[in-house]
Amino acid sequence: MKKSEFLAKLEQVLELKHGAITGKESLDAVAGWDSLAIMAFIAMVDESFGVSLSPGSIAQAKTVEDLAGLLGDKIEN
Amino acid sequence: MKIEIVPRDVSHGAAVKKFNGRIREGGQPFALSESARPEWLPRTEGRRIFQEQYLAIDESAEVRGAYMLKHQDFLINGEMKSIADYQLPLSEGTVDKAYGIVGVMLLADAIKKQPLLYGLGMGSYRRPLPRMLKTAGWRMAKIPFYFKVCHVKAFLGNMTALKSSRILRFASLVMAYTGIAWLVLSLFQFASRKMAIGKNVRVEQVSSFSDWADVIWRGCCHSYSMIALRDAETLKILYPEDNPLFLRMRIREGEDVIGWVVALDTQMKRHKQFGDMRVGSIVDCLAVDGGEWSCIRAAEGFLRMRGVDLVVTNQSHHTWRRAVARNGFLRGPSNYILATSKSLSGFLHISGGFPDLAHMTRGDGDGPIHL
Repeated sequence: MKKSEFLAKLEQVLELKHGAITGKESLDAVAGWDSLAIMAFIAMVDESFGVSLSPGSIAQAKTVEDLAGLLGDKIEN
Repeated sequence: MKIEIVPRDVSHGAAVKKFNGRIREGGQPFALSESARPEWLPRTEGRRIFQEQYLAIDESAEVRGAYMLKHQDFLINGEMKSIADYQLPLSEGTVDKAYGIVGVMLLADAIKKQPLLYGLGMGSYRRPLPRMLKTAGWRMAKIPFYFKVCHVKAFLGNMTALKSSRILRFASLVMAYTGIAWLVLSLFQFASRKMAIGKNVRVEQVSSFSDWADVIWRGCCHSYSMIALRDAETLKILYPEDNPLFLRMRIREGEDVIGWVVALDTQMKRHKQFGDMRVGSIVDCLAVDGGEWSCIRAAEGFLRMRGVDLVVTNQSHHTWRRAVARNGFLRGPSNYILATSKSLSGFLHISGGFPDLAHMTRGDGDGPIHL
């Protein structure tokens, strides 16, 4: 999956407008990034990528880029 | 951020106090108990029903969240299993976005420790915890709520729902003072009653449970697809003899014990739903097959004689729901949600009728609170 598609899916999870996330943002600055959004993100990644993310790995992520990094080569730059 | 989830012990006292201070300051109405040992169901040697609390601790040894598991034996599809109730999760993420991950970590940790999990209560589907459980794939259902009015004036004067508009408030006052409300409610409740009162059914208030409760348990437990162990030993732990609030009723028909009911008789004070009413709650119950109606009828009569304004109960199983409906109880909006984890839902083979075949009551929840 292309990175732009990943960002679009993340926007859907967060119920944000298309283009609201560029990828460089700190997660602290992303509107709606709370426990519900994190749970929805885990479910989305599981469904779309077949990857089971642990909450511990998400806790280490500081930016949207870091989140994408958790999916390794499943995301093309 | 590095978070570790550990069992709570006395060494966490200062960090728990600081956590409570931070979340109170953030507007969170809940707080962790000051006691490291669960006050309701502490773990003791040989006891299979107990609570354990876990804390989410960060790298600076600060508490950032907590949850509790109530472990209990359930008979599920004929097989006795220890499962757990996911209770009172609390995360600093509710007041500080930086800790949003904590709520997710608590849930993941609980599922890892006990995949057969359920949650009960929770208030409304719109609240954060039920929304999170639903996103995590848990099965959700409301346990129906029933009420029966004993004193119409008190009911109409106190029900918060009837005070929501001036017109409703005025109409209810007029109806209360002219006697119209009494007539309407009596007719409605009477019309709902489908069976004659058994003349030889009687209530015996007892101080504790013993062998007779085991006979009831063995006789009916296989009628339910999911039911918490309700033998005498467990009931003595849940509704202990030294707690004077619980009204324990043994119901007899003739000389035979046909069931039991545990109830509360509570004088409410500015309660958000019940105002200042005296509320009788049928908290828990069990009966021989076919004895449900008589048990509800007897318990309601007992509470009415004590002077309650209203009798309420939550019942999931279809036989108990039919029993309360046939006794003239009316169904109201329920805020009592049952959520089952993916593993537990799979184990239950849940189909469309969930939770109609499970026996879940207020007795299966967080304990003698919110009743």
